[in-house]
Amino acid sequence: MSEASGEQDESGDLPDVVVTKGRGVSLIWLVPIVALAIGAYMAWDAFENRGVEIVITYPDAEWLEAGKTKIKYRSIEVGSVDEIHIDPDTNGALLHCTLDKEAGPHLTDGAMFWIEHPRVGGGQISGLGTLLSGAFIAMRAGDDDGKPVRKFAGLANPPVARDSDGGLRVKLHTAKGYSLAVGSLVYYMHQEVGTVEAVELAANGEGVAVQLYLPDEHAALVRQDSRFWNAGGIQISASLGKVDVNTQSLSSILSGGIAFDSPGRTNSPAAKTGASYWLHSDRDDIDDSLLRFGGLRIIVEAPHLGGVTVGDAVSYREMTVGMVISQELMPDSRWLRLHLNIQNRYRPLVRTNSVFWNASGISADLGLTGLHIHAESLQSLLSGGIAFATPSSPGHLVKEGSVFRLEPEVEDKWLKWDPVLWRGPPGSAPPEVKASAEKRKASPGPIARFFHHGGKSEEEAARDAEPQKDPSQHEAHNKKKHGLLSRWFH
Amino acid sequence: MTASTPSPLAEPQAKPYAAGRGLARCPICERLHKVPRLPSAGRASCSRCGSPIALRKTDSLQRSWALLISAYVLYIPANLYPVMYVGRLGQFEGDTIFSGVQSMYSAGWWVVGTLIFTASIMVPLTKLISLTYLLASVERASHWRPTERTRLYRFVEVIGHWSMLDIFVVSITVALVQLGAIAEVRAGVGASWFAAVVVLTMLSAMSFDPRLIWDEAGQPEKSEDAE
Amino acid sequence: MIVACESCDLLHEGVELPRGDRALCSRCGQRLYGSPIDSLERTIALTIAAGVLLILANTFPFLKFALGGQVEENRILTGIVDLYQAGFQPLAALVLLTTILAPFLEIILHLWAIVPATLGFRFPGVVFAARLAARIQTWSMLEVYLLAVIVAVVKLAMMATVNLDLGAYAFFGLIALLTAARSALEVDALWDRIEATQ
Repeated sequence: MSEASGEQDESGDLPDVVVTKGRGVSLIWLVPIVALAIGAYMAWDAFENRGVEIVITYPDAEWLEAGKTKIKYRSIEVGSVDEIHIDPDTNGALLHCTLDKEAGPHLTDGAMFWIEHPRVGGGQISGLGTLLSGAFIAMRAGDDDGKPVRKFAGLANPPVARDSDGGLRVKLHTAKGYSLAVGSLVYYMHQEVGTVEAVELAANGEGVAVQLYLPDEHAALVRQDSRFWNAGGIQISASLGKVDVNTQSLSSILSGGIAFDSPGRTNSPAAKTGASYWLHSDRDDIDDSLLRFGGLRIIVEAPHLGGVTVGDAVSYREMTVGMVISQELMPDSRWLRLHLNIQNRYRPLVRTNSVFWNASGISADLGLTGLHIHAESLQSLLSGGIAFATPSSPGHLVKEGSVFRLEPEVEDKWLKWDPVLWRGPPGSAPPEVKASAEKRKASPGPIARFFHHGGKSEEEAARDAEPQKDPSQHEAHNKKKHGLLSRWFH
Repeated sequence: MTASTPSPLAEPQAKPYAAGRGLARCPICERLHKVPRLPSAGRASCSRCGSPIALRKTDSLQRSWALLISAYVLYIPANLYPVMYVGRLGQFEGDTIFSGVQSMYSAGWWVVGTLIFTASIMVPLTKLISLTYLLASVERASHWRPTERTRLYRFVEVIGHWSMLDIFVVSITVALVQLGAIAEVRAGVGASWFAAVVVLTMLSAMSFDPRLIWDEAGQPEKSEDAE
Repeated sequence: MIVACESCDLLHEGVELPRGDRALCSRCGQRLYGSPIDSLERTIALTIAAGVLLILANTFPFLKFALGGQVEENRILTGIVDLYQAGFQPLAALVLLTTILAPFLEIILHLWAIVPATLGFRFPGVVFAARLAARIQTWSMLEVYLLAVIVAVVKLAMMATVNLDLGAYAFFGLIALLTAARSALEVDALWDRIEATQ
């Protein structure tokens, strides 16, 4: 303030201040310089990492909001929709989006975008999470070495899973289409384990080929002896006063579905990608008559079921050769008897000194345990059935009704047995095999047989066609042996 | 008319306060001026910076009262209507200033709750009451403790803008919590009314000339009388 | 002019100082005063830095809020725009004024006025700029906004992940620098210079 001092008169005897020369440029200028440096750096960084702008076209912008809708790649947010304009050419929507710089290399030919929103019907219920989080655009990367693309046409539906996603693919052949559609579900024990990826006319023009996809966690359920049948809709079967209403799930009523089982369970080798099977029209059509009927009837006895149930396969060297057809409790209530039927052509495998064991590793009784079965327990559903082996010096052939004991678990030495059970070219029947005059159901046509038994048509045909020799001369011999052996087993 | 720069010591026996000598300090550039008596519609401007200058703030009491009363009126809807709506899964719940503080206390958030309570309830009330008192005290030509009253005025000026706190919190929260059905926050009309109250009390305080306190309490006649 | 030393109370006869020089107490060496130009220079430097930070604070995201896979980023402006679009135009205008406009004008106007005055040349609008800058300071409420940010973060951190981003750090810096610039400014030194150059 320019005020005059009141003591002007006395100021003469006051000392002078000491003046020191200062720097030319004050240090204070460091502050704005640093600020500018920080600002310049941040601007450069933002420029370097600026996103990639792309345009996605869609017929309409339902579910989408400018400035909000996010774009995700494998659940990671990589960008968002900035603006939505009307496409002057198509009157559809033009989505102007910005994606993170890192997503750039994936924006090539083959990259796909689709909207994830709640979908119900048509064989699927999906995207419910987006009810809470809001719809978003999902992205699949394009080819790594494709040329960069910046304009994409959005897909109406999510694309099918690709090889790079893992999992198992098998082909089913059938005469009819059974109202199956892409997206129809595949069931094992009433649980969804896979989807129908493609339905098309068979290459040979006969019938329809259906391609199934099962993700990794369920792929192991499909074995080489699996049987597939059409399980869509509601199947009603009536017999002798009982009506069965069978359905896999609500979804299958709407859109069809395929169910399968694997009778040999883990005793049958796992299926490989590309394996072919026949699609039966329904469960009853599955011809396991060979396993069920008209073969060698024998009995195994055990104190507990140990997880073995009627319908389980009987296997020899991991090959299904028969089936458990019934069970009964012995009069003294201390033993259970399981009746097995061994396919005719495999009769020679069963000898008086064969050993049968429980092949299910789990003692729990298997059954449907509820709605949420995880992969682990699905696997446990796989273990089951009875397996047997015959010592390297095989005993005599067994007669109908022979009784064996069911061992609770396998011993390694049995697996090493390597008997020669018959000699002759592959496909020839063993000489002592006696056929009983059984009636068989009409065998499935050539295509069915081919796919039902995994490609052994020639062998089968040869064996089936082989004349059965008269077993009568050996029966007396067998009876004696059987008596001794039976006594030993009891 | 331009006020001229005086020599303040022209009359050594004059009253020791500026207005008493016909002097006024420019609020912008801080210079003392000699300000002549003006006709009621006249204006004087500072010789240095050109800002309007007068012995006392124009119509101080009138303006202050008017703004203060308006603030009182709007204080009612400001507290009655919700300031913010929080929506979860489509269900929206509104919070007024009071209910907001209440829910924070009941949730155990003592610090934040007290902060909001202070900024949104204590401060506006204090301002309203203090300004009312100050204005009334000047109207009644009270002599009671002018120093303390001046300090009260400075206090009111300082705390004034802190009641904007809740408004800013609403603005930030509205911008952040936009997550569709999971959570969504919207502003409520109460926020507008409350903002109006804050602005009005600020303007009211700005219009009030604290020198009036001293004028009415009795400016000293001679320099020896000055404290 | 007469000055007294704040350390030893000795009275001195002071002189006007050229730029960069400092006056020290002859007895105890305490700094008595500097040249008015120095204070203005300091003010300019701090104001420029504050301006840079103001731009940064508003350009870059301020807070990131994530809940259930949804992420929301915002700038100071976002809240204002949201309020405006929701129909709260006067409220939006008020927040805009107090958090962006007032500090921005304060910085720009101060620079407009102080730089020519310091450098000693005449420039149009200097007086107006200096007056307006002084008046608009009351409407700059950045510290309140800072506290509001803290309150909002605390409230929201309970239910979701909240992160401070670059914009927030620039904001802190802005407040510090603006406060420093205000205290560095000696108003009548400024007006003396303005008077001299107009």
